[in-house]
Amino acid sequence: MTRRLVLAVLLAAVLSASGLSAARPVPAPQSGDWHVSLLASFDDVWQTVHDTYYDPAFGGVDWDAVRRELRPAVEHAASPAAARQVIAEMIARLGQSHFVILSSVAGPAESDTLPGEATVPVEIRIVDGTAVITAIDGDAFVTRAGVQPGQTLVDIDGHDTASLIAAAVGADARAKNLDAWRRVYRALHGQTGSIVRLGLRSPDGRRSTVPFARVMESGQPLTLGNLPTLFVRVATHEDVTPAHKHVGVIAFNWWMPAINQPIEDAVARYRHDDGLVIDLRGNLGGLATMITGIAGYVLSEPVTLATSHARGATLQYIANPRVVTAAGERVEPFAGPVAVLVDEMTGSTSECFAASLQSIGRVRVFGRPTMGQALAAVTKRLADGDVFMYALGDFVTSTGRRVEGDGVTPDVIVPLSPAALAAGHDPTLDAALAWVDTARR
Amino acid sequence: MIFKPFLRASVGIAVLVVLIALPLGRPGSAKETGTQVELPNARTIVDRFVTAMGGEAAFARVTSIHGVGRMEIPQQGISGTADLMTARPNKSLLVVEIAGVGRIETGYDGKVGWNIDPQSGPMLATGDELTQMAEENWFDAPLRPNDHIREMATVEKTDFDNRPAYKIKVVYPSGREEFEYFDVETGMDLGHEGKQATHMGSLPATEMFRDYKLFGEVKQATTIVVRVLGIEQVVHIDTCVYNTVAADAFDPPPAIKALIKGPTSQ
Repeated sequence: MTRRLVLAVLLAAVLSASGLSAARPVPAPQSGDWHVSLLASFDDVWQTVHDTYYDPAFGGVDWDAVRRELRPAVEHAASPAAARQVIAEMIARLGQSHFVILSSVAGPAESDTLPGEATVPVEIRIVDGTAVITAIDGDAFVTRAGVQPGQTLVDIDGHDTASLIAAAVGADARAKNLDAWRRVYRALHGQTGSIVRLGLRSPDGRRSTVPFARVMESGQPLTLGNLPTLFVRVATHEDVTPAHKHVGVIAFNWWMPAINQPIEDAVARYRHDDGLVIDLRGNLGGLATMITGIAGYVLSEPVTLATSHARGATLQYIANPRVVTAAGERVEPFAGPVAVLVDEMTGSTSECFAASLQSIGRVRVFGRPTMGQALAAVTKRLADGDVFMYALGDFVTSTGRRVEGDGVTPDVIVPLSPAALAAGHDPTLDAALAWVDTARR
Repeated sequence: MIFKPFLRASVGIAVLVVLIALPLGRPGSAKETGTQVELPNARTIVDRFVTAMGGEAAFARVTSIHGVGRMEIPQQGISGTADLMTARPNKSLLVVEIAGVGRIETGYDGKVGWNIDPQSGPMLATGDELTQMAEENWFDAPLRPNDHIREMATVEKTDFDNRPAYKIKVVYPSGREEFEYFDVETGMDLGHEGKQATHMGSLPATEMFRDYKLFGEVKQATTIVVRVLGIEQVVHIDTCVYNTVAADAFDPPPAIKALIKGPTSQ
């Protein structure tokens, strides 16, 4: 029985999240010799991959040779940062997402912990080497301060964002885009109340500089294990299509259990609407098995969504039709047309969800191609205090589509248009709403 | 458990079991050097354990067990509370609450097995998962009653969880196989290896029982370690009381009752 229980907990902890760069801080190791702790971390990372990597052939990488080559570099590293760089290089050899060292210490600006938990509450996307504001998170005071969707963020406290973006690294264009986004995201962060000066350019070319006092990110703060604090938000509203049909819109930013009740409530409100939109733009992932529960709100049968092949085991993600409420009331899953909105910052669990339901024809996907970072992963605290996130398995939809690397290609691609955003439109949502008018319920 | 007695599915000696005393010289058998030593048969090993944990009569006086403790996945920094109940003849309810995840429940009332967690929602166990729940939740499982296993045989003397151990192969009525390990020196149940059926498929798992303590007349393992996919999860039992669990403790919650009831005509 205990085994059954702990299995449930383990599955609860399998996550698929991209974009994280920092771990929940812990006190620094007591050992005065950083070489000792970082060598232990190097060995632990190598051994963990050796023992658990889902492809016993390591994708063609000679993993033993990697250890022989790189361990001396840690032994002779001149600094902790240099040693950490070697560990990062080791896992980069695998060429897969979800093999990441989440730093627990302050480090180089481009890759490590945030300089503070407060930020400018805006959504940013990287477009043609620039940072475009695509949405304001919540409060109108941001807008009153002069920050609007569609503006390009030209500089932050005088630091040119184009340079930040140009310095981004990555194995491919998507990885580079994520790194660029992370650098801008980090630059927006600071201590609560600290003033940041935002250099902005509107689509019509007008320039402005806006001082802004950073605020805590909105949402429910949630800490799970080694992960940094995540601020979980669920936003719902009812929209109207061009043909005046009613559509429930549900947006959330992390796949964490805290989203479940608000989504259950929203589905109850919109159950008889003409359509449902699930907005996963900017959603970087979360707990992987949540896709089985959320998919159950729009599926009436226990459909196999996907399979994850781990070393010595296969995990199946099967939708759990949500036919009862917590109070014991019988209900029906939403039966009408469902649109899923994605973009280049839709990652991991969000991609798994979108790809799985797209594969079986249950949803139509709108927006822009996603990250292509979809593996089932867990975390592990290392001797030096950092956290190693590593993949336990891949993720393949029921129709055989592997999401890692490829991502989700929307059925309807909607380019990002700063001018449309500045005019108050959301072209991706608009396209989904228009589709509901033509979709068969 | 809750421990060990309850964890184990009905393990006993099936009438048809062929108890094989393997010679030490057999590949993969005991690691002792020197002359071959005949291994004790599985029933002898089990009986020795039953005696060591307090005896069959003492165990028979226990009608329910309630353990309270903590659970953690150390490498992931995850921890929470654990509340475990089980009662004769075959009922169980296990609840874990973890910060950031919420309340995870799994129960078996003798017929219906169910799970509720904040990720996938309420669901009934079916198929292999339900079969295994039924096999695992037999209260007298520690005694390995003959009518709850298909066969059982000693395999070898080996090491398990850093202890010298007798390894026993157990086949359940469903055909599921597990290897159980008993401490050569103390006789206590050290743990087992096998596959665990879940709603996400069957996963290989190893369970280890440590730190036996006497509660009343019966010893229970107070540290239970489960290793799955290379990750260890630990349950620490802080308190354990007998014969206090209310009869309705295993009634399924409303969501599960609604699932059992099924759709009703309007």
